[in-house]
Amino acid sequence: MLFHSTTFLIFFVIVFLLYLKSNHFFQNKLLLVASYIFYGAWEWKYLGLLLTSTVTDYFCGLYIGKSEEKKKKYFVYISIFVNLSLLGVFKYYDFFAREFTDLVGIFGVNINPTFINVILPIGISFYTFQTISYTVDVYRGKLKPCENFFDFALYVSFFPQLVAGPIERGIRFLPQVLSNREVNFHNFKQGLYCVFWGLFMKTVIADNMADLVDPIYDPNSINQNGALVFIATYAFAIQIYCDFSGYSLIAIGLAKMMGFELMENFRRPYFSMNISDFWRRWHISLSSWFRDYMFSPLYIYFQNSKIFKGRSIQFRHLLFFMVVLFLTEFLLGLWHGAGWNYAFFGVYHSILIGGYYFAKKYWDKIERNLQIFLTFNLACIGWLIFRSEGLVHSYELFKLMITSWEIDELTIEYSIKFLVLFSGLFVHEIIEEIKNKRYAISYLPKILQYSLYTLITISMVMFGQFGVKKFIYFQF
Amino acid sequence: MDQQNIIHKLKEIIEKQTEKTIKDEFEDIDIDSFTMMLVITFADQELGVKLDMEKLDFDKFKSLNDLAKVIVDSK
Repeated sequence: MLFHSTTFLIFFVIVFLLYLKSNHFFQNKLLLVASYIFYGAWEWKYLGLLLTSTVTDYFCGLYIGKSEEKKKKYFVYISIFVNLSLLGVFKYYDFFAREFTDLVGIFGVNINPTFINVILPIGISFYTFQTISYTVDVYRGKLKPCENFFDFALYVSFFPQLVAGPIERGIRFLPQVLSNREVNFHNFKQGLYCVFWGLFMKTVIADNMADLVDPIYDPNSINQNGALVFIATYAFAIQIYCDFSGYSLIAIGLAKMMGFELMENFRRPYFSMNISDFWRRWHISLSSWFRDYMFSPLYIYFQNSKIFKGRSIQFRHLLFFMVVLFLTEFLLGLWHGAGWNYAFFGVYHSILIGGYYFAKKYWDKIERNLQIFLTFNLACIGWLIFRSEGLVHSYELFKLMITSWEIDELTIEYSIKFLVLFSGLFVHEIIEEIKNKRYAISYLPKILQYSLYTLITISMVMFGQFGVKKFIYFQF
Repeated sequence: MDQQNIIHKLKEIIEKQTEKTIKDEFEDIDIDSFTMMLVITFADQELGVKLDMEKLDFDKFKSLNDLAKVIVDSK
């Protein structure tokens, strides 16, 4: 059930009308049932996985709350083990089994592992991370365990953000589940704005950009030259941003209409002044997850170890920072998919972030707009790695991009389409960047606002691809 | 070491590592992971204070004063 489909529109209208008529108790039950229907509509068999993760972390949370200090951590281990096992089996097993078979094959050993060959359960990377964060936060004493199973199940499965985030923390979201929520015109209006703009980003910009990207990134493409790869890479940078940020905005908007506040997931990342800044603005709920549940604990682990104990603060700080950064970014890359290009995407970003801190004193002296321009282009090289079909394909595309330029009719047609799609986004983004908040169009005079809303609606009707292309992050 | 001394030391070490000048202890110094990890190492090696994840909340730390306070509270 895609957000940009008629089925979802009917589904949401029914849920929303029933929600308005219910009290808090029934609202939560309604949302829980609706969330399970929403998830089951993709593939009902995978409801079992969602339920396994929910039951595990519900009981782990409760037992952490009740257990004596020494035993608490065992329940954290159980939670991490169960959730990562689900993720490992359904997302990574086939990939690593295949890679291992190829590796031992080089040495003349033939093995025939059993492959599970299943479609990746949608949203599994999101809800497993969400439930792990809950258990760890209960263990850290930042959150009280949720006593009511159904409320907890709603926290895990809340349909607007279930399949592609934002990855909500219990500390932020559970209090909203447990208390009365205000549904008012102001929230509804802001929510509607988010849904409207999110739909425009997805159906008009992202999906039309995809038509520029896909033919060029197809390994069997015959229409390739450096200029086309260059435009397609820029187009993909915009596509993935509009696709994912669009999804997040729709999720935020739907939740807002029902009185929930979801966390911000994107803060105009292409205005970042360096790569470290980029990761504070791109997929914020995931990057902050890795920071809080992997990067920092791992750094503290190294810091508390005896490694280079006698050396200076600066030396140990830099060493541990770089090692932990590399490991974290590697896994963050791999989180996106079972493929070496994703892992390398993470490694590439770790090199950029590390490089930034080494060259900080020089970088920070560069003119602000040039910093933004350079950061965007460095991020685009990362997207080339990310979008390609593998490491060899990345290399071939990159080589093509710097060696074989040709300006033909197709290149000009691509450039025009790219610029038209990009300009709509750019104006909106720059207004929000200057204002440093959402709802750019609402700051304009009324007449201009309504003209723009009309124009956007017309462009959605004419060029929007409704219910055709899935959201990119669904595959993660 | 009291809070003021910690602030003084922190200022010195963060300025050296990030090559930025910090005006006063309440200035929002845009604490990122790099700075936060430096504070963790400083607290451990210089003061013998082990900061753990239970006490760290990245989104709440804004200034030298916030950082010094968490170190003092962890002593």
